[in-house]
Amino acid sequence: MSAKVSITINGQLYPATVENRMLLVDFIREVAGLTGTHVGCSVEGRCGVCTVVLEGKAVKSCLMLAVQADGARLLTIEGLAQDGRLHPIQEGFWEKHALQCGFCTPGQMCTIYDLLKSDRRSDEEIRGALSGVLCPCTGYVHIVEAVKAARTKLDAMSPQERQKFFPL
Amino acid sequence: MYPKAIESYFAPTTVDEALKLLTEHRNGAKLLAGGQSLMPMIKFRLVEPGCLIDLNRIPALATIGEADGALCVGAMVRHADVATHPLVAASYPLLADAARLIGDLQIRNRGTIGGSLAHADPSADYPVAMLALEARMVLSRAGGGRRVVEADKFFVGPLTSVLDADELLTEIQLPKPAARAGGAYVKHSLVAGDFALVSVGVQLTLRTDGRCERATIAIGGLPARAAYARQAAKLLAGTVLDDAICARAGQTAAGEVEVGTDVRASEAYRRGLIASYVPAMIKQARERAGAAAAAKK
Repeated sequence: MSAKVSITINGQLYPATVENRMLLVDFIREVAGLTGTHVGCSVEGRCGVCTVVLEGKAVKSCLMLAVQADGARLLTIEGLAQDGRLHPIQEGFWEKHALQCGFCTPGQMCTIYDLLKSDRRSDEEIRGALSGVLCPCTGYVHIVEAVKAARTKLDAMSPQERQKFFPL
Repeated sequence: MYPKAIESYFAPTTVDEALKLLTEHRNGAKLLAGGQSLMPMIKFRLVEPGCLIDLNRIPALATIGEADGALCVGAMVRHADVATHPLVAASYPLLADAARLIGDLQIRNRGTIGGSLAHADPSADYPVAMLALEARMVLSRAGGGRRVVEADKFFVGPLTSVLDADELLTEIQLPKPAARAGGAYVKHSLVAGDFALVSVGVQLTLRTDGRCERATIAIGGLPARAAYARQAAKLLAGTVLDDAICARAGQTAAGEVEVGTDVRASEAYRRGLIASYVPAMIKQARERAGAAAAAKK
């Protein structure tokens, strides 16, 4: 019925006993208390708002059980800034006004983290990746601009500096 | 939305262990692969498993390799890895196309080929690719029992395959295409990342004179399951695949498969989509087959 799990989120270990049925998103919000990860559609896994980074890959945390993440490392929106500096993705969103209500923004940023970490970062691939997080406010134009700005910032960095912003 | 309480959760690390658990808990147990379809169903409480057997910690199911003239894709290989694997890209462009078009980035990171096939959604991408590539499914059970089922015999109807309650789809075998072979896949959906209103996969082999040796055409987005357009494929054999024959194949395919009407599209609209996408995919498959032949010279 329940199990002991230990999940590392943003570098901090969270051990807990949870019910088998507990969703990963609920572990993040209720056990770890990290409420930056939001719950959108809540059932179907269609909206992408709950997206977090699991071992370097963007995944929807409402489509996994917490027990499945036992021993895994996660990054959430709270873990993107490094050494007191916003992540280039966050800077891009700020500078390009890429959010209105901000509800989907954590999911957007964790999805973009996966994209910009990889070599699949063309303009077309940016638009493709953003299709996995629904934003009813912006129409995506400014989000695309923000991701391009983040890409430019990251490209200007030394490999070591860049690496610092992709801990997973 | 919370799933109903789940009595037991297992995360075996070998196939044998998973099969043993499946036999022990065959009533009320579900195998959990990528979870991109099963988890929503559990949250909707359409499925209420008392026992979950999580396959995500079985490394042996997550490999791609060549054996006995076929590409062997483990059931737990994720869509993102199918889409980018060099062996898939080299010989099975149709499959890479299909994997790339599934859901969104997060779903492709998590969803698996075996999970999708076992789920047998008639609007999914992989069933069409499996038919077009004439894949074989390897089904295993505890005690070393094993049967190999061709793709066309694997799918029964909506969300139904021939898998027995104590069987696990362990591997997908894709026969190695001939030297002058190529394929292409397309799907038409209402919004990005959605299921197909219609999807089309075409795999062709060319003769040395450039004419078509043989073809398979598979159609998805149908009410029951993905299906072959056999008459349309037969039309292509021996021809130069010009515009006229491609158009005829499109019309024939649109007429021969069982098409339905639902809230998203009418039967007539879907038949129209099939008639226009089949010729387009034949042409793309022909180009790729030509390029494959040129590369091997």
